[in-house]
Amino acid sequence: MILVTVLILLPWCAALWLSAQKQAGQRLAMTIALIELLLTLILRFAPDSMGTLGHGLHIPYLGGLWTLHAGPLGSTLALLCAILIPVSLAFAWRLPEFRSLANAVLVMAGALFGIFYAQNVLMFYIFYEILALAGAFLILRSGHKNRAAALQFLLYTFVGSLLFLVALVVVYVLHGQQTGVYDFSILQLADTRISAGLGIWLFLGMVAGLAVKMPLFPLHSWAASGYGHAAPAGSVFLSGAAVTAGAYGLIHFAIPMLPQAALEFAPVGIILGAIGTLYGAFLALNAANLRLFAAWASVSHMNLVALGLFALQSQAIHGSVFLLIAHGVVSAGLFGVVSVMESRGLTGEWAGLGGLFRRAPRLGAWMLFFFLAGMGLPGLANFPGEFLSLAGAFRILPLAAALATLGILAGVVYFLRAYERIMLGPLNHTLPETLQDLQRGEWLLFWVLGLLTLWLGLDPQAILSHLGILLSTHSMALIQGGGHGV
Amino acid sequence: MSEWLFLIPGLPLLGALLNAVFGEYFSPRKIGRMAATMPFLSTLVVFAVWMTHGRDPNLHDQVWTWMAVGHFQASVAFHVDQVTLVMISIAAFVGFLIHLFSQQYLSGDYGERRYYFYLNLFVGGMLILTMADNLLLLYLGWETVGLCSYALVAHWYRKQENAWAGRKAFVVTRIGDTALALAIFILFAEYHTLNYSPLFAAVAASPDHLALLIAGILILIAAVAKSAQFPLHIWLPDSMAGPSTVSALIHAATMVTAGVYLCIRLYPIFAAVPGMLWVIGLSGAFTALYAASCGIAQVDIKRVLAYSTISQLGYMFLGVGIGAPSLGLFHLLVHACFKALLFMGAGVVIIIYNENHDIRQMGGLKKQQPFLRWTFLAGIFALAAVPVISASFYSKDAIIATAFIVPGGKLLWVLALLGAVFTAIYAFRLYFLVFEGPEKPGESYQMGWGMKVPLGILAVASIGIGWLQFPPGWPGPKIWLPWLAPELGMPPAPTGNVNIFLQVAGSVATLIGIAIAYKAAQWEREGRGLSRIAFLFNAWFFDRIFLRIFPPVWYALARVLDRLLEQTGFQLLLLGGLKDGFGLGSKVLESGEDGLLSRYASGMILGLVVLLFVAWGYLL
Repeated sequence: MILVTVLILLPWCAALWLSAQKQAGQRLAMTIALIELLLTLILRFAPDSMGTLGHGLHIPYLGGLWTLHAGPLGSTLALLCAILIPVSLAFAWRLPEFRSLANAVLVMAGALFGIFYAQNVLMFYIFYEILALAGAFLILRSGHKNRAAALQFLLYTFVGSLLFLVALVVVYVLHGQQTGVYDFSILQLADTRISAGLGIWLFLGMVAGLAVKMPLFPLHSWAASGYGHAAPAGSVFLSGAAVTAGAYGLIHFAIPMLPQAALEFAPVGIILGAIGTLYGAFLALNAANLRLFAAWASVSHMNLVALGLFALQSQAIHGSVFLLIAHGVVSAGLFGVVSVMESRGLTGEWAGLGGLFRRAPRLGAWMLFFFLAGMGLPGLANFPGEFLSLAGAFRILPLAAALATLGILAGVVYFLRAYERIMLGPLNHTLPETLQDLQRGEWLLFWVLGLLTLWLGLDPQAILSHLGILLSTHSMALIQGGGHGV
Repeated sequence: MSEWLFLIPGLPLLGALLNAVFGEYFSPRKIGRMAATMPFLSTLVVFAVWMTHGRDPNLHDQVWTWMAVGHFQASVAFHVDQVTLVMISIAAFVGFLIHLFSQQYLSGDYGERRYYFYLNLFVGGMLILTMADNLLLLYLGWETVGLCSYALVAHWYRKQENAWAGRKAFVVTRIGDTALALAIFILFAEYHTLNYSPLFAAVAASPDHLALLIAGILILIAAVAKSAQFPLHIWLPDSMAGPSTVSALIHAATMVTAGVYLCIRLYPIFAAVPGMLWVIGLSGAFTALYAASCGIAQVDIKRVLAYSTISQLGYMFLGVGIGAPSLGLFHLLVHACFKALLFMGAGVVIIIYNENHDIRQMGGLKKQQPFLRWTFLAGIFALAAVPVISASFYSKDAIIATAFIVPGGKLLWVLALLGAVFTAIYAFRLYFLVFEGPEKPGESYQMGWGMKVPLGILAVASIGIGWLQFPPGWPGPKIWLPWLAPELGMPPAPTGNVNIFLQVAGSVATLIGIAIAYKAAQWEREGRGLSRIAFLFNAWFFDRIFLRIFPPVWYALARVLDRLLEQTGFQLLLLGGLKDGFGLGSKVLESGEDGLLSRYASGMILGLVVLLFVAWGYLL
């Protein structure tokens, strides 16, 4: 209980402290990040750390707001998030806007930990909003400092969140009317009986709020401009960690609350995911620069996550969660590469690149590595997740899953084309005469991400076997009764 | 022995890993030595398997559980039976020979460590592909070799066209990979397993014809793409942009045979669908003829060999299709030896002629390079299937002869026999133009023992390895087919007069081809050769048509989606609508200072709280 509370509040305190200081505060931020990493490791691996951790902040009619619960899924995602904080900060180390970026990342991290350990849906919702605000702050204050992109991000989340809130309140009230217990705890709300007609509308509202963060097609539009305008070091966190909140919310809150509706939504979700996967792939192919390219690649993968998730099938949902984690690492690698290139003064516009491998072979090698991971090469992180998601979804809706499988082909097209434009071919004469290859720190950072990628790809079972029951038993029984099978 | 199987792919992979981590601390020369040692050690382990379990191999090694969710169980587990033993012997030993050959061939070039990294990784991937005991691990090997093919074709990346050729190879083969993934999904959805033996048992127990038909077609597409069969062969001629050693290893001896291996391995699935095998046979026979016809008009030494590879792979598919997978595997073995030899020899020829690939500007090399000439000639003999004294005579001609006697095989036999004539033409045309005729001196080049030993070994194999299996009715050993029979069954064999007729027909086809080749070489020197037939020279214009249609459509689709849907639909209409709805026109954007965010944040929180309380109060 105390540990988790510290985990959530420490980064916020640090962000407050940082914003009051004049100097950049790299060391402080990094120390906090490492403490957080340690805490999540303890929470993930310490014995007896799972289950409900305690209650607090009881408010009449709302339930215990500060009710914490540690599940295998939440603590694994928290660990991923904790790994990405120092990675993101390290990539931002020399940026002039380090302080605002670190502030945003730390606030987002605290909100994410809150999301992953919340048992009260209202608490989840509040953290979810804080996450969105911090995300918008990140887009506004780093990189291109693009106000329009930040506003777009806010608008999307705002509208989505409103719908989520309305749906949530309806479920809450219905539950109260049925049982007389007014409480926002998921354990209570999961038992609500809701008629099929209303359920589907409520579920749509929740999907609007949660899937916008993933981002699911057609709610994806903020992603490209958001990732594309924030500093790449910030996009590392935004695309790797922040997006997990939406998927986690779906798995942990929306689906258990409305299992029947989720089941009915499955075909729509699979089809949207399949369309989004290909859509992202095609837009990545047509991306105007490296940042947008990485953004669209991320969108494409997250739609595959959505596809597996909505399939509500054993393999698919395991694959989906695994891909969520793998995508975090790989996306961090991709945006890390972009970040390193920008620190060398390269804008990432295609016209200014070409033949770079000659000048920076180490960077080239790592770029290829993460590109390969991104295109789902077996043995690297994304593959088990992609393959399981597709194999599982194929059993529910073969044609849509087959369509998404074309993403395998599309992936190789856009990743290799980008790699060729950047690294191969004759040396672009607009490149600077001397270009520093990876420095020691960056090189180390890529090794950490690279080893993680390789480990996830070669031993996915280490994660898969611990995800245990992804959905609450209540909804799992219904879903298996619905014939989606093991 | 079982528990050591993991060493076979493990050692080359270890080499790749060491190279990646510590490579830059050592000289390229040392890294090359280390890289060559790894497949050599693998070969030793394979040799040990032969010695201990060669007669009837059936070994299994479970290393670790890769993925297990419900019925989706895939392990990193290796299985060795007869077919696998042949494949890993080729991959490890020929792989080692090519590593050895590369030491001198590539020394002093740029990117040597990178080259050895991918070469090691490739051998490891190929060994995993052939040793996998389930479809998912096979897929891992399948993709790994595809990656290495890409990286090695694009090895000399500083030229745009090399990078492009590598990408083309990867993209076209990935069409097949996608098909393979879909086939795996279907088989898993239908039979709930990924492991070969339970899968085959389930297929035999309850054949679902529709699912098996679709899966079979998809697997065939995968095999066709990987093995460069018509119409997905278009990547192979371009992949000659890579070093010749790469062509020898990947695009002749090993990776391109993965498609044939896949068909042999998944034979029960094809056999369960009526007519499927015949389609494979037709595809193979047609490709054999098609590619051979293109081969006779090529002037680039490596492109001749590339089309020849496509054509020879067609014969292997024909073997599988007519129900003689063991003969297909036999030809795979023979082809690995002589084609690796020819590619490496071509590499030396190219160095001698200073990176000039045009065979019309070569000639009379036999005086300057007697060793190269004799070894190359051995390879040419095997390629053209010269009767009795070449290995191909015992493998390829056996396939053609068997095609005649199986039901529905007459058409295949005609195509294949015609292909054999063309094969002899392009093989000897190449030889005559490069090694015979008036001497056109190139630079002097001294092959060291590291190059001569591999060429020598492969030349001996190209001549002699066919003697493992003499044709029916001949005295001499018949070892190959009986040894494979427990796993693949005995193929039908022609007897009596038909047998004699078929053997004579095969030999005559080769001899006619050689005679035409002699004239063709003469014509070519006089400037009026077969290369002037544009239809054949451009490979029936197929590649061009392909490139005109598919990539532009793909790119156009990407552009349309971006412009119409994303820019107009989502950004302009949807977002614009949202902004208007909230009264956030451009004025707010322009006037807003840094406080913009905090204003919206506070507004938002306030709004939410109010909404919550309103809802709360109202509903209660």
